[in-house]
Amino acid sequence: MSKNILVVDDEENIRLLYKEELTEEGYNVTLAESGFEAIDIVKENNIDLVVLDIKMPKIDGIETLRLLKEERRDLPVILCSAYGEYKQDFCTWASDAYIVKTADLTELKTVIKNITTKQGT
Amino acid sequence: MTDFKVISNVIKMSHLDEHVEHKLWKIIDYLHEDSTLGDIYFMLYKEENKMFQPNYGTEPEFMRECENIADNDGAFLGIVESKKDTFISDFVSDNISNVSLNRFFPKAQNVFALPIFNSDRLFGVILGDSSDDLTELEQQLLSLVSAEITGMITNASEFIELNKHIYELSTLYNITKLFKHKEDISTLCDKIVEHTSTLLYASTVFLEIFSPELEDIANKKCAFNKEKNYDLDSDMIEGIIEDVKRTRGPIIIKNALTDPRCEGFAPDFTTALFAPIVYESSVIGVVGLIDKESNLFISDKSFSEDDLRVLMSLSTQLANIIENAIIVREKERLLTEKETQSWELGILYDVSNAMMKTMKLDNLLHKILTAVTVSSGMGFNRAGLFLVNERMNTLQGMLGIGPDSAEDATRIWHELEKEEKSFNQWLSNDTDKKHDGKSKFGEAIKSIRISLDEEEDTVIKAINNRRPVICSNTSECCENSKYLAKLNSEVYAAIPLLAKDKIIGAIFVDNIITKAPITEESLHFLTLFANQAGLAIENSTLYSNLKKTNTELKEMQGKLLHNEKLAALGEMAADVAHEIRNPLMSIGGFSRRLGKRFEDGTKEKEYTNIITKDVSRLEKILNEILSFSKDERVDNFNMNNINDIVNETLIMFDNEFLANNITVKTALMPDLPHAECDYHQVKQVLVNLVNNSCQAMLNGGTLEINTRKSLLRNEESVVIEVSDTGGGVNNDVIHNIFNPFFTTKDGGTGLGLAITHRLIANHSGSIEVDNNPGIGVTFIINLPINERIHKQPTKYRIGGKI
Ligand SMILES: Nc1ncnc2c1ncn2[C@@H]1O[C@H](COP(=O)(O)OP(=O)(O)OP(=O)(O)O)[C@@H](O)[C@H]1O
Ligand SMILES: [Mg+2]
Ligand SMILES: [Mg+2]
Repeated sequence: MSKNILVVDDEENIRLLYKEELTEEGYNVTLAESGFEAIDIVKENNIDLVVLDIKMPKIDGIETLRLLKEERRDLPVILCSAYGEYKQDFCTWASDAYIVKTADLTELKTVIKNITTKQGT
Repeated sequence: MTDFKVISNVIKMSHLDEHVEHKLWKIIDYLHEDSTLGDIYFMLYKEENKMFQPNYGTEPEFMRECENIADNDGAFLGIVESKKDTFISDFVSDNISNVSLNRFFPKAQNVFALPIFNSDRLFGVILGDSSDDLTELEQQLLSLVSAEITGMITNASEFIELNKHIYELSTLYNITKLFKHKEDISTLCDKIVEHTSTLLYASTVFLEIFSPELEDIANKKCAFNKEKNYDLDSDMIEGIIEDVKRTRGPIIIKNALTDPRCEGFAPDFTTALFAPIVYESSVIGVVGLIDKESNLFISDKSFSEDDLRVLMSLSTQLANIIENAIIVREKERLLTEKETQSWELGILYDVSNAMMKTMKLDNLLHKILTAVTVSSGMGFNRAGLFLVNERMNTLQGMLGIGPDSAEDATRIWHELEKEEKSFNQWLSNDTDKKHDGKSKFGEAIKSIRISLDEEEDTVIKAINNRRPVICSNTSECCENSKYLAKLNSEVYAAIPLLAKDKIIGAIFVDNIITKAPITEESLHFLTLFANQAGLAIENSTLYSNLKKTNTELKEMQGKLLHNEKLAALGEMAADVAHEIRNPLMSIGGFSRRLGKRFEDGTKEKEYTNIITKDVSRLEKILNEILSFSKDERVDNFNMNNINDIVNETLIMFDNEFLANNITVKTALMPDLPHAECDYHQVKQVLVNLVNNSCQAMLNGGTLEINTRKSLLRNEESVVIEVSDTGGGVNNDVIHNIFNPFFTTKDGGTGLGLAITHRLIANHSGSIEVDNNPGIGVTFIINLPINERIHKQPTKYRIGGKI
């Protein structure tokens, strides 16, 4: 059974890139363009992992992270942001990984693989 | 006189339990009465002047007139030389050689002389006559009697001699025994003098000590008189003592009347003996004997070399006891000095310890006065503290502790005694201030303001001279400060409070209730203490200044941060990066995807590769620029002393503990092995835990932190336990506490324990919770000493500004 991955990002281009790259890796990819949408999706679907942007309008990634964890404590969340500085923020420690956005998605793919294989099926 | 009954009677008499002299006389009487013998005499031999001295005779009339006879006089010479019993018959015709004997026996025909010998010593001679010729048997009988008498006298003299030796020894022994007694040396001297008098048959013994080291016996003069009181202060005796001091040797005066040292005086004694007491090669005293008592066997009325020998050994002994006494004194003095010193040091240590921990000025002042007044401290009845108010140019009363009346005092002291607190407990207690300030004395102190210009005022004088003063209402030397008059104290001391060289105030003390005097020593100690107190007050002021400066700085910083331009700039940098990264990601990402669709070697492939590479280059440049602008910290693992980290963390919470009434207990294992860890991360862990405990104990409680050595996965480790009495965690939620964002607090973020958990994991350590709902909770952290051995591949390295 392939894993269900939710990608949350306010930029359409980025969402598309994630979707194509991760689908190619064999994951079922769902997209959300805001934190609220993401929470709704997580509530209704069997999501295995979330890739989460930080800088977003309405609610940002950190707040979304908090709400997601409140909803499902065991849900792995990978923060993926253009802000390098957030890496040092206490808040991001609550996530399962933090990755600085780059054109090369190899690191992201490795982290996703590590987390999902640990989960089992 | 053929009867052997005579000899048996003589033997019997010689064994009577009587004085030997009397026994001798009895034998002479018996021989005279119970035989045919005529008069019998006993002449005592005086070796010193080589004379025979009439001692006893059956013809008392004659004895009274009889003079001494020289031992070379006629027949006596023969007796002395031959040492044999002599029997002379036909005495009258033999008149020339017997001139001396003729006097005794003018009409006699048969004369005998029986010398009494003891080995070489001649005691005397028995002379007698008989009208009839003495038969051989009678002569033998008389020789036997003479032998018996010799035996008797020898025994007696040996007995006396022996006794004298035993007595000498035992007296010396007794004197030495006296030395060992812990009696004061003065009484000891009196006893020695008395014993010596008996030992050496001196009618007076005196002792004079002029050692300045021993105050209580310096110039001690003591004497023991058996017979008469001599004038021991006479110029003559003083002159002799001076001689002894000068020559450091003994002086024997055999006959004062002829002795050159006594010339020009009218000595009231005949013979005397003086010996120096030498200690460390100087003469510290003189012991002297005056006039010898006579007895049967010591008829010589002057002191002998033997007496001198005994006296010298006595004086050595005396020197020894005086030396001992000096050493013991010195030891005791050093000991008490040490004791007071260590007591003083202990108090100073406790006080400065307590004072250094106290940063709030009012708490500090209270501690200072507590140290001055509690009985385990300096124990003054009342103490007041004044501080210089520079703005007003006054010395201002700040705090006073002390009872208002004797009843008040008894009550308070009784209460305090019941509490049985140690000095340290007194000092560490900040909340218990029930006995201060509120008394009338406290009010009076607080109302005192003395202008610093009043240079004549005692207190101002004391601080200006930087020297403590003791004042009494009655003394004229220093006028009572009129400002302190309302304190009603009769005797008080004012001690300046100095911080380094700055005058910052004064301490007032008195003993108004007990009226105990204020000693120089206590004043000295109080001065030492005041220096410490002054420093602590200065520190506290500095600290509050520091605090003020700190808040000011923070405000400044805040203002700076809010400076719009700067804030905009800072934000811009991050925003620019963000704005650039997103399009770069999409450009680069899609060019990669595009590139995958083209065959290698095609133009399209080449173009997409160029785009991909240049995007990577841009991203790299962006990262480098950004990394310049931020302080990127990484783990910094070093060998650290966990106890230090604990202590440093606790200091941060000092005010919080105080405000929330939290008692802190620590049991930090001494010699705890250092652990390889990131100092700031471990501190952050402790800060998070202590923070939670404080928040759980808003109404007070006890926080306990222990450290110890332990094992983790069979390797050495260090355990830190943090316990509180804050009621613990509800069992329903205990499993959530490490989850990020789980909180039960308004305004809590729920990240404290999550971060803690991450940090511990980063150290390959473990964290456990021992939760007792309703009571409290204990967090047990176990950190490996050698972190690298255990380094487990952690997916997430944690860096960050902690
Ligand atoms: N010593 C403690 N006694 C009682 N409850 C505690 C204690 N420590 C933690 N808790 C409980 O665990 C919860 C989580 O603690 P945590 O430190 O993670 O977050 P927080 O203290 O609520 O918020 P913050 O992020 O400010 O630390 C607390 O809200 C509290 O309910
Ligand atoms: Mg965004
Ligand atoms: Mg907390």
